[in-house]
Amino acid sequence: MNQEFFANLPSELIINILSRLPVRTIIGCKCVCKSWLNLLDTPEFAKSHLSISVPGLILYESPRDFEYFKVFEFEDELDLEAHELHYNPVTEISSWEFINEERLGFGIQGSANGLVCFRKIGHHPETVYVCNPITRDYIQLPTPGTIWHYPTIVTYGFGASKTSGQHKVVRIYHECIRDPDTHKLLGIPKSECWVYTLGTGSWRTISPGPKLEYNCRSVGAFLNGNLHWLVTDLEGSARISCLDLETEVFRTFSPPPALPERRRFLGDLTVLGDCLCMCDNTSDDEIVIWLMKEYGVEKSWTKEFVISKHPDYAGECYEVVYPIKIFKDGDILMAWQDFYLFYHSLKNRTTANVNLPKLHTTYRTEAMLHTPTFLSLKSFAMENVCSF
Amino acid sequence: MIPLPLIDGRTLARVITYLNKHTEDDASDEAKRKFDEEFLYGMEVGVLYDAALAANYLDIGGLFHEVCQRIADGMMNKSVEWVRKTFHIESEFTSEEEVQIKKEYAWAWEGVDSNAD
Repeated sequence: MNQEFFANLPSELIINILSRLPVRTIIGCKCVCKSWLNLLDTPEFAKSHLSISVPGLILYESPRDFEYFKVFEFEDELDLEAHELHYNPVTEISSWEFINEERLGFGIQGSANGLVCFRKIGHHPETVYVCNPITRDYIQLPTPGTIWHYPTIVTYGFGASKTSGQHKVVRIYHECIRDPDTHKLLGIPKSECWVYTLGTGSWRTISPGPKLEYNCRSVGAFLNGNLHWLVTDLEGSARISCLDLETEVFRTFSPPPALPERRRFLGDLTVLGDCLCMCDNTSDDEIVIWLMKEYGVEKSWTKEFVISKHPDYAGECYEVVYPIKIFKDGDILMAWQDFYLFYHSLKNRTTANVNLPKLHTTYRTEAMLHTPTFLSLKSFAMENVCSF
Repeated sequence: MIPLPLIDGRTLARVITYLNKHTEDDASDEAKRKFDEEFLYGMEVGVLYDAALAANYLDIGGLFHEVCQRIADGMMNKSVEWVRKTFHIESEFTSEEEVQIKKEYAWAWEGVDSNAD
């Protein structure tokens, strides 16, 4: 082999090879030589890498006084000796690294193309951030308009539009009038939808769509360039509200048929594999996972998995279950509200908590799929980007 | 006659062997995958690079991606020193510069084989 060989390779070839490496190895390559350091900072590399980047996991953990984010790459192989071998740690970021405050109480609002949106829960006015945990930069969004006050509903979603690829944070805000005795929803006098497109520096309003009751505890499920929320219409029926991030137009479609009565219903939307997923945790005995096998086709809602909760997870509960990923070996990773992660093994028909190494007992845990990217937030115009 | 100045004879012969298999009328996908496995197995890094360059130049998508993947597989979890040595790359960094970069990305350096060959 020619001594100068690698030095003479065209850059697109080097980009192709390096794009295939795990995140930490790519960062290691920045140290190899100056031309690789420069190459790995280019938008061409970020684009090539993102196009083949496989979703991993972002985990948010909150012990008493501080919080941290952990990023994992998945090891999605058959015949792993333990379920925990599915998770390869990439990095861990303590909130102290970028925000010098205690008890922040973050909630992840969404993850799209490697960027993560989170906000301080219960904080008013709302403080919202978008961050890339790999390039270690973040922006704090300006305060959105119309401050929350009880009993209004605020919910968020974060995604990227399919055609233009623009990243957008969506904030839905609406008022509620309820019957003081039954708490039944009587009307929605005012509703708004605010959108923040990364790179524009400001929020703007769009048409909020039909009057629907959203849920403060939900975040938009991002699939196919659209955001989805489980909502209730004014007649009390469950619907799915869908926002096309390209056209910025809302529409609704049906959730799975025969859901339990709305007030007692413990369920929400996520994305599992390539499908919109609705997981019903209402029953004392089983977790029912529905998948919309053909996107947008209401008849394609299929009861895909029924997982027994016995013995360790059975009984009356008040929590929603969020399926996150199905591994090739049939293990289904799920989150039990924001309490802990657990999984069901289709092969062994067992259900157990996921035991990832933890330094502290956590108070809250949130998890979401996250596709690592080297796209720096600095590439967005008009944003005040901070590094940590 | 089409002159191909950037590819040596040996590499070209390998590329032709690959193409002959992949364009056989009665070769199933399974047979092609098995062929790729045996063909590329144990190829030295230098040979893989020659093949990648040839495949890129001749625009042979399948071979190009297979070879790039194998080069990447060989690089997994290897140290910076290994990469430089194997690919004959000169680092133009001063030691201060190198320390600076490693400090900036300190989190990426845990768990790498520093002496892996």
